[in-house]
Amino acid sequence: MAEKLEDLNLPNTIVTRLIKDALPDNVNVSKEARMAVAKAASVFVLYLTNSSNVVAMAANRKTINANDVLQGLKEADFVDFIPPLQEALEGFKKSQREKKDASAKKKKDKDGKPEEMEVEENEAAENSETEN
Amino acid sequence: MTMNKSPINKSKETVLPLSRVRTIMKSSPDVENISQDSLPLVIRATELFIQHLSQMAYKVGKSKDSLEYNNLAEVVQTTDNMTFLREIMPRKITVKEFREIMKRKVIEGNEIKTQGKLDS
Repeated sequence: MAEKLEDLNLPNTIVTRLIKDALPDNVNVSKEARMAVAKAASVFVLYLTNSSNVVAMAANRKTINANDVLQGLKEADFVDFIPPLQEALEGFKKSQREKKDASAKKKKDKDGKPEEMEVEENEAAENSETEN
Repeated sequence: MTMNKSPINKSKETVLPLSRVRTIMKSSPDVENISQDSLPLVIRATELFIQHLSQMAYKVGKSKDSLEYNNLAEVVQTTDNMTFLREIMPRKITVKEFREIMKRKVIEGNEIKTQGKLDS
């Protein structure tokens, strides 16, 4: 849960990198512009979450799923984001499957030993999600 | 809405932190649960949004070598699907411009008042 207000901000360095990747080289992005984009991105997350949640609630579901997010984008009039996201979704699913296969194989190799995965942020995040 | 075909992070990996984005999502009081694959999807969408907004703002700006706050504000204030950002990204104006707007408002207000009197 968010304890401090700063917990609701996105990291400026990463946001800046994303901005720079989208623009021609050598474009100077003012500090004020960078901070405004970071703030806008946080608000976008909330806006999209709410829009997706409305879709989930309308279908009597308590969990926001991937289709709700895609539908939420449509409701919010960001339809152009949908095709690249569908592609990305396939990518996530594939890498998840691969991870699963890899860990299953590891388990087999170790033969009965409790499975120890390197604790990546990804893994930790996914696990905590299924709990609540 | 049109999106530029240009660079946009091609890799399949997301770069924004999962835990932070989840915290923001969960800060919404109505949200109960978020499925495993919707989190990376929201992150990717946010990354696309950051790049989309930056590119649009860069295009409206006159300078070819800089991106300023006012370019962003201009896009936000004039694009239909960005209304949700209008209050947090107002156009910046100088004190002089502000005074002129207020003066105009006072004059308009007086006009409406006198019209009202004439009508009644």
